[in-house]
Amino acid sequence: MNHEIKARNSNGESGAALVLALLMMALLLALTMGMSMTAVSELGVSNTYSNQTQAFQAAEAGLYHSVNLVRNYTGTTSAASGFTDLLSERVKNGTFNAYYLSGNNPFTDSSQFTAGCVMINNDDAAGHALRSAILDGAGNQLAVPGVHYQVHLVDDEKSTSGANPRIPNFTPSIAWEDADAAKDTNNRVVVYSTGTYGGSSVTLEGWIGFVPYPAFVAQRDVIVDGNSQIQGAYGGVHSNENLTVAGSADIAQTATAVGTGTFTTSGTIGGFHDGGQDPLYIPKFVTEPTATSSPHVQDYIVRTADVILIDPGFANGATRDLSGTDPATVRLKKLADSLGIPAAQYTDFATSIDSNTSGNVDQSGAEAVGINRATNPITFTRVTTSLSTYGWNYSGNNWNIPSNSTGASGHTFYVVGLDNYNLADPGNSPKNGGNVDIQGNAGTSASPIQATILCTGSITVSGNPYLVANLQNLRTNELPPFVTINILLAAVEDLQINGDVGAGSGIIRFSGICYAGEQVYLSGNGEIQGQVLALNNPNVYGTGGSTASPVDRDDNEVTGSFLLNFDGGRSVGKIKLMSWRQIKQ
Amino acid sequence: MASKDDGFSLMEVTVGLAVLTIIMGIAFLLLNNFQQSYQREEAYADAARNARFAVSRLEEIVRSAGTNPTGKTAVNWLTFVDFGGGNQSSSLHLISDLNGDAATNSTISNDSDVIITSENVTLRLDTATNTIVMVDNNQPLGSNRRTVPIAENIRSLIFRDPDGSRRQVDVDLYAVPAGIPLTDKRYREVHYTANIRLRNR
Repeated sequence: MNHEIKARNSNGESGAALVLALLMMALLLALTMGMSMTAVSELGVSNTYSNQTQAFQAAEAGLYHSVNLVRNYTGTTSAASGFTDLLSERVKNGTFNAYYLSGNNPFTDSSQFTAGCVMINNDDAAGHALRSAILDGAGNQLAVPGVHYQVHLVDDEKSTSGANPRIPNFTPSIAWEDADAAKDTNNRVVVYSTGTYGGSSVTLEGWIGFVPYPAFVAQRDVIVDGNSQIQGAYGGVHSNENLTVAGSADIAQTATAVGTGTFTTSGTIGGFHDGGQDPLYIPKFVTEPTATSSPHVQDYIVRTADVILIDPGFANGATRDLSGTDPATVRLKKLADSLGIPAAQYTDFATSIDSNTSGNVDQSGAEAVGINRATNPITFTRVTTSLSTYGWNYSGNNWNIPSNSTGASGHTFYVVGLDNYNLADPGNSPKNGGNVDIQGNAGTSASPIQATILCTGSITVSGNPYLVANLQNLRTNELPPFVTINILLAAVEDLQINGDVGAGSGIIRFSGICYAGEQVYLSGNGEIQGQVLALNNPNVYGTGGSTASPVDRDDNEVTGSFLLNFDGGRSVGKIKLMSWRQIKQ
Repeated sequence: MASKDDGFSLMEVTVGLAVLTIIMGIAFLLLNNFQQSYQREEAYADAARNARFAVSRLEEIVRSAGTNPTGKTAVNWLTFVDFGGGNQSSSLHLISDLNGDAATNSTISNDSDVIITSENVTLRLDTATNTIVMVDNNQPLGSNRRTVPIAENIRSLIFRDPDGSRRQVDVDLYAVPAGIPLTDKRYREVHYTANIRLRNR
C-alpha cells in the first residue's frame, strides 16, 4: 500500500484529474446529446412539414389533372346531357361501395375509395405519380419519386339524398340535383384528389362545372342604360374594356369590366360589379382581320348552312369552272371553298346560280341556292323567281323575312354579298354586302320560326319576329369539346335590334346565341332569350350615310326597354374548377 | 522520511483545493453558459416550431376561403376575405357558401370532415392566451359562440393583402416558446412571414 502511494508520489502525480476529466466529458456529452436530440426532433418536424407540402402539391396536381380530363372529355357528353356519360364511363370498371363517402371521415380510410370511383389511377396501386418540371433526355417529364395522387369522381348529390356516393357536408336548403349518382342534371361533378408522400396524405375537394358566360359579353366598351333589363340565372354583362350602367337599367347578376366600371343606374345590379377584372375570351365565330384576310364567318359554321342567299350581281361574270382572276370569279371561288364545295363540283355550284347554262355566270337578281350535303355528290337547288320558297324576299339592298313568311323554318341561311373590307384602312371601307333587315312579324310565340341566319354584312331587326335557332349543338374549334352551342344570328358586321318601338303589338323574341363581328345595339321592346356576344372588329364608317355599317360607332349598347334574359343552356362558357377546399385529415 | 510518508501537508491540500475550485468554477461557468445557450436555442426552436405550425394551420384554412361549390353566390368575387375595410388587419374574416344555398349563414356539425366548419368565420389572435382562434360568426354572440383554437404560443398576428386584389394573404406573426415568460433570460421569439395564395379566386 505504502509502496503504491510512494510510487505515485514519486512521479509527482496527485489529485483528481482523471475524475475531473471524466466528469467534464460526461457533462459535455450530455449537453451535446441534448442539443442533437432537439435537432433530431426539429428534423422530424421539418420532414413532416415537407412531406405534407409534397402531398398537398400532389393532390393539387391531381385536381388540375382531373379538371383537364373533364374539359377535354370527347365522349358524347355535352351541355345537353351534362356529365352523365362521363360518370358512366367512370364506373365501367367497378361498382359503387355503399359506404363510400359516408361515415364520419371517409377520407382517412383508403378502403372507402372503391374501384368504381377512381378517375385517375395508374396500374401502380399507389396512384398516379406526380411529374416534375425536369425533363429526361427524351423530353418526358420525370416522376417525383414516392409522390402519388389518386382522384375520385362523383356526382354532386347532397348529403341527405339517398344516392351513393354522395357529398359529405353538403346540405343546401334548396332542391339540388336528382338523387341519382349516375346521372348529372346540372353540369357539375365533384372530384376528391388525394396526394400521398412519405406517410403524409392530403385530400382536396374540387367542384368542376360548366359555367356559361354572362348574357352580354363584348370586346370593347358597353353601355347599358334606359329601362333595359338583363335578367336570368346568368343575366350579367361583361366588357373587355369599359362598362357603363346608367339610366334605370336592371342587371340580375354581375356587371364587370376589364377597364373602368361606371355604375350610376337607379335600377338594381344583383351581383358583383366592378372594373379591373380578368378578360373573357370571346370565341371567334367571325374571324379577326389579318394583314391578308378580311373578317368572315368561320368556315365550320358556314358549312352548316343549307340555303345560300346571294346578293344580286355577286357572281355575275364569273367563269363557270371558277378558273380565272377576275373579281367575280375570285369571290365566287372563295365562297365555294368556304362552303367546302369540292373543285369537281365548282361548275355545278356556279351553274346553280346562273340564269343561263353556258358562257360566264349570268346573275342579275337575288338568288337562293339550296345545298343538300346528304347526297354524294352534293346537290344544289336553284330558286330564283320565288325567294319566298325559303320564306325570304329582297328589296332595298336588304334581305327580309316578311310577316307572311312560310318555308323559312328548319333552315340555316348564309346571306352573301360583296366583301368591301379594306385591309389597309378598315374605318373607311364601305359596308359589306349580304345584309339582313327583318321588318316583318313572322312567327308567333307558340310557333316560332326555327332558323339560323349567318351573313357577310349586318343584321337589323326592325319588325317583331319570333325566331329560334336552327343551328343546334354545334361543337366548335374555339371551345372545349363539352361546350356545344345553338347559334341564332351571326353577322360579320353589326347586330342591331330596334323593333317595336312604341308599337305595343307584341315583342320580338329570339332564342339562341346572337353574335356580331363588330358592334351590337339593342333597343326598343325586344326580348332575347340567350346570349349576345360582340367581337368588336374595327367599325366600318365608310364615307358616312348608307356606306357605313348600321351601328356606326365603336361601342355597344343595350337601351330602351330591351329585355335580355339568359338562364344558361347551349351557350358559350367554360368548364372550370369552381370551388376548392382541403379536407381535414 | 516518516514525515514525507504522512500524506499531504495543509498547504498542499489548500493549494490543491484552491486550484480545483478555480478549475471547477471555470468549468461550471462554461457549463452554465453552454446550458443557457442550449436552453435559449431550445426555446428558439420551440418558437420556430410554433410559428411553422401556426402558418401551416392558417394556410389550410385561408387558402380554401371563398369556397362556393355551386356558384350560387357572389362570395368569391371580393367579399370572401375581409380585412375589416382596408388591406391589413389583426383579424381576417372568411366567407364561403359551403352548401350552395346562396346564403352564407350555415354552420357545419362538430364532427365534420372539412377544415372550415362555418360559412362565416373570423381568424384572430386571442392575446390573453396567445392563441390564434377561429370564431364562428354564424352563432349567437356570447360565451357559447364556437371558438376553435387553431395554434398556440403566438404573440402577434397581422394579415395583409399585398396588392389589394384579394388573391393572396400575407401572414406576419411572432411566435414564442411554450411556458417561458417574457422576463425569462431564455425567452426567444421568432418572426415568421408567409404568403398564402387563395385558391378560389
